[in-house]
Amino acid sequence: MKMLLGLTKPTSGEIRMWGEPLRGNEKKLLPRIGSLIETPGFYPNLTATENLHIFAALRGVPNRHAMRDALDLVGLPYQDKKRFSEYSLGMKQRLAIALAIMHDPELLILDEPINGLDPIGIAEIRVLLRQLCEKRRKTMLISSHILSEVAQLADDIGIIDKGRLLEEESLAELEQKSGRYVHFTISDTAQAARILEQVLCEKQFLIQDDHNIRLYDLALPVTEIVSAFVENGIAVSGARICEDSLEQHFRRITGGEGIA
Amino acid sequence: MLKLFKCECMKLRRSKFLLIELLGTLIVPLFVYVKAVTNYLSDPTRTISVFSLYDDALMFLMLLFAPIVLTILGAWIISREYTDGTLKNIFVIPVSRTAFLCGKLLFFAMLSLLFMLLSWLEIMVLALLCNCFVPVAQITIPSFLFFFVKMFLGGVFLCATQTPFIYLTIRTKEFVAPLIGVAAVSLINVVLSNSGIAGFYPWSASYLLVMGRLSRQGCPREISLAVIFIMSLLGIAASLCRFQREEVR
Repeated sequence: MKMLLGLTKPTSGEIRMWGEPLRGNEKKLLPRIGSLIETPGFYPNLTATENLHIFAALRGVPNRHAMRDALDLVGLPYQDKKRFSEYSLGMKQRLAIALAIMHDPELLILDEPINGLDPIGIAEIRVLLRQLCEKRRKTMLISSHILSEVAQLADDIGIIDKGRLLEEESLAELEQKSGRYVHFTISDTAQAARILEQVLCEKQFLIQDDHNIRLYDLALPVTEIVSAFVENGIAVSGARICEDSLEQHFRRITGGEGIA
Repeated sequence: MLKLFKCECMKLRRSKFLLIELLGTLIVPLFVYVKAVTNYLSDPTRTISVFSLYDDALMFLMLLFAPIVLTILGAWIISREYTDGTLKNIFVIPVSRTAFLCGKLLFFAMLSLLFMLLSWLEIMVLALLCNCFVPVAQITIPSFLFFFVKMFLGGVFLCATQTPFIYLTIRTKEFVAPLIGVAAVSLINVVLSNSGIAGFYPWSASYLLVMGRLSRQGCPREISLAVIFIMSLLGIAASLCRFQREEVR
């Protein structure tokens, strides 16, 4: 995200936005973007309005009411006397969003917008982002480690692990594709994995522990798999069709090593 | 550039740092007064003069006090952008990094001049007040104007010789390294100020240039000016190069 905003330089490759390369076109492309990168950065000795005033002056925001509108939208008072240093993390995050939308950009790039917020703060920001999308028709690119939140906000989801885009699909497609699996509770998962691979030619499975294994290909009849297990001396105590959460899907896609 | 300069002024609102700096300008004037009055009280034949007050003040300011205070101020102006995390908001506007740093340097130059001119004003006010109790010689408008020019020049030279510390701040993104650097420079200033090579050392050369004592130290004025100019230019160039390559992490 920092690369998209020209804050860090890519070691290789090229960034194109609206069909144009970012490099050399920063003055043309960056004003079309609003951003929030990780923690909000403002001058602690100034109030919200004073902080926005500085950035509005630098940006050359022509609309006099832009600051008041942005603060109204995020629910912060205009010309309040409270300094930024006295703000709660939720208020700071709101101010950062106000800064991002003040110049009415077409695209919002929000890096971890709910980072460090309490559950109430997360819910508030979620409502705010929804409003921005629905009422102001903003396109948003959001990154988050909190996948349940992503599932509640995003239309399209991309999974990036160790700098590689592993999957990019709409939420509906993702749910349809990855949502269902067969969960087997058995006596020996290592033996079961061998049977799945060698006998049933199946590779879309995930071993959870010594007794639990998940099969993501529902094309094979469950009875046929159970029979194969029993014939090879594996005791089957359970076989049920389950649904994956986005987090579980993420773990499976990335190999279960966590978010990089 | 003017816009950036105006923004720098806006950032100072309610800042205790500037207030401390303004109060800091009182230290040297008060110190030279206490010293002069103490000398007078111990030996009433020794008169207090405007010239001796300003001479002492310029020495303490240019060789010791002002470089340290101005380095802290310069480091604060720059490092706060890193510590407050505001660069990521500024660079995405986008604001040219060169223009941004030049705006900061211009603002710093203004503060340096303000520092010196406030000291000049405070000495003048103290001289007038002091004259009510203890006789102070040479209280004339030409003598105050004479030292106004010297203090102004001192401010210009002080600002010019601060550029290496600006670079150090950008490089380290904090106060410590520039502060250690300027402490070492001030120490060497004190050691060198009466030596033959003082004219080649940019910080003491600035003081000698302002006081018109370079010829006494045996160094041509042009060489001292060139040393100061080259060092200042190198400091600015290195700062700009470093800032251009700066990545917001």
